[in-house]
Amino acid sequence: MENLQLLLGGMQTLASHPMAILLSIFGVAVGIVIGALPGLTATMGVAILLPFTFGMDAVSGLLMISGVFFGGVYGGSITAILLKIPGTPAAAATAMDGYALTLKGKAGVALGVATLSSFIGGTISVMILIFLAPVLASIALEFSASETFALACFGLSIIASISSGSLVKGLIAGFLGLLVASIGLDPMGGFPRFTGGYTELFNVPFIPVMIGLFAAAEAFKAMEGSELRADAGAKLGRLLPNGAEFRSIIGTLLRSSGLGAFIGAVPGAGSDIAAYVSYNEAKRFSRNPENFGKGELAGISACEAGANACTGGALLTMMTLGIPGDAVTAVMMGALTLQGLQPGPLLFKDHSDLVFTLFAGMLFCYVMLLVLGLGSLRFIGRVLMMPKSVLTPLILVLCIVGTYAINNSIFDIGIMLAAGVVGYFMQRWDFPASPVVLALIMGPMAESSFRRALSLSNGSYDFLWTRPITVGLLLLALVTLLLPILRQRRRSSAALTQGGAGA
Amino acid sequence: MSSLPTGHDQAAQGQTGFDRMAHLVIVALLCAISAAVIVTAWGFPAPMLGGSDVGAARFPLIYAVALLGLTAILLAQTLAKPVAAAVPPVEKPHYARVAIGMLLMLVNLLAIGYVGYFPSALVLLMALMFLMGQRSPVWNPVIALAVTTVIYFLFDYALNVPLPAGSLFE
Repeated sequence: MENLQLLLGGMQTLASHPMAILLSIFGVAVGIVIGALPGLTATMGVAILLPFTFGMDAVSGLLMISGVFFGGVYGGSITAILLKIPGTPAAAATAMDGYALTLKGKAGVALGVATLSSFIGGTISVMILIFLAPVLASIALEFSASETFALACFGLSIIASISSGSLVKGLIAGFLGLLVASIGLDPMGGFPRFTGGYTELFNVPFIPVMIGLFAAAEAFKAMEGSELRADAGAKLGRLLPNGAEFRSIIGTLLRSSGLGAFIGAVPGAGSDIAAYVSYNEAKRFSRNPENFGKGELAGISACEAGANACTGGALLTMMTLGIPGDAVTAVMMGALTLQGLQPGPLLFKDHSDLVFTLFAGMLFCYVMLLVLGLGSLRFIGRVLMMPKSVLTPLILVLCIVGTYAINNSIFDIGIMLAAGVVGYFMQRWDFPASPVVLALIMGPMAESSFRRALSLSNGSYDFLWTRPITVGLLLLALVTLLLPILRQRRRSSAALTQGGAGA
Repeated sequence: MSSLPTGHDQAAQGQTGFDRMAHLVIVALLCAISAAVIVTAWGFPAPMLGGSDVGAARFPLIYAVALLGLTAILLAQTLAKPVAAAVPPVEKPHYARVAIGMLLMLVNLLAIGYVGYFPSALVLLMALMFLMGQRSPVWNPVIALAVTTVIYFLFDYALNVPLPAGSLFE
């Protein structure tokens, strides 16, 4: 009740700060643009705008940066749905069903659901931040290296679920991704692995690989067709889901929002992991799991709600404990410190007025995300009317520029191109690309946290079966991995029985 | 082989001789990658922390061995699947165009360091539009120039992300 009163007070204070309101709208708009451009992430957006906040008051500066953060996470879904170019790693999950809907001429409703889900997921996560911060922060503190390893294993097991065609090919793609993820400095000893002497390979170049596998490969595939002058064939259609469609995704929305907020609170786990885990759970709870990957609205809803709910979770540990949940909140923590505020338990006690004004502003940012998102979709959707002969070259140039922008490295463009060529042949022979991206995200996390856990337990493997959260997550990973195999076996034996009966 | 976890569609359909050959090449490539990883990882240094670390080689080795196992399953599936006569596609894909597109990207990659973003992107856009059937001598340069300029200003000025200037002009 006290929190509610403080929130209402925060809303009143915010209303008397027109500049803060304007800057938060500006932040959301910039965030959406940055998120939509391949290679540019919310972290980069926040870092770019950080110097501009030096001369601002705390509320204005922090709300502008929050706007960029929220908009950046959402913006990645737009190009993922329309062009299969995931602007952010989290949007690679959205691309699976989003682009399939675009090909069916339902890009509008896919974008509408993504916007609504981002708004609802983000708003719920801010509400969790306001009302449940102490509870969630205490659970998040239970996550040490062994739990993070188990979470990464659970994430990797999702490969089985997102391998829509052949499970073996999906797993092969996943293990190839894990091998690519092991390129670079060994996380414990710092030994360079498989780098061939190139310092550019000291860090896993996963964004160039992701841009290549999704966007460049799709552009190469577009060159195969002969209808080069016709438009992309897909119109935007209606934007908002109808009543039945909305009712069908409510459960997914709420579940994914909770999952996203929780995963966001776990240090080291970001919106990309939240998107994939939410997608997997949405598929598991669905009555039509076979539709996932072929244009299922619940798939888009799960990814976007999960990814955006991560924002509140990541802010939660940063604000309550002083532990940033991901790279963006680490930069935001710097912004708080620059404003003379020390993140941690005392922040809520000593600066409660300011903190709740910020919370009110964050809720406003999400409302603006909904308004700006839905308002701009018709305009953005015009990209589909572009002739393929212009759109495909434009995509390839954006791939080059977006990849270069990450590290100002021409070497990265080479990696993107190589990944694009490999991705084209993977598509040709039905090897899915999503497991590679998932492995690139989870692989380094799994290895580094396993080795840290082993080191913390002095070389004993006990941590694998003595810690309840670790055991629970590992069991969940096992079920997630085995379930698709069992389903396929059952389907094969049913087909054999039917065949036998028919004969 | 039916007990292997094959894809539903794949299990139901046969494969052409070309598909089978392609899968065998993929199997060979995957084996080569796994073998290269195993040989290279064997040379990695021993764990620095003694018994409390598994070392730099352990995870890549696990991944490579798992990849080998999965490749063996893929090989078994490929060999077990019946070979069917190829059905001619309704529309033949333009593979030559794809190859030229990839080659143009490679040329751009080699050129961008010397001539910078602007000229390389301008030429690439015009060449790709021409390749994809947009042959207007007026509109191609106009569109390419407009797109290149918008991207340049968006990244270089609005987002403060400098694009390569090119060593010839620096």
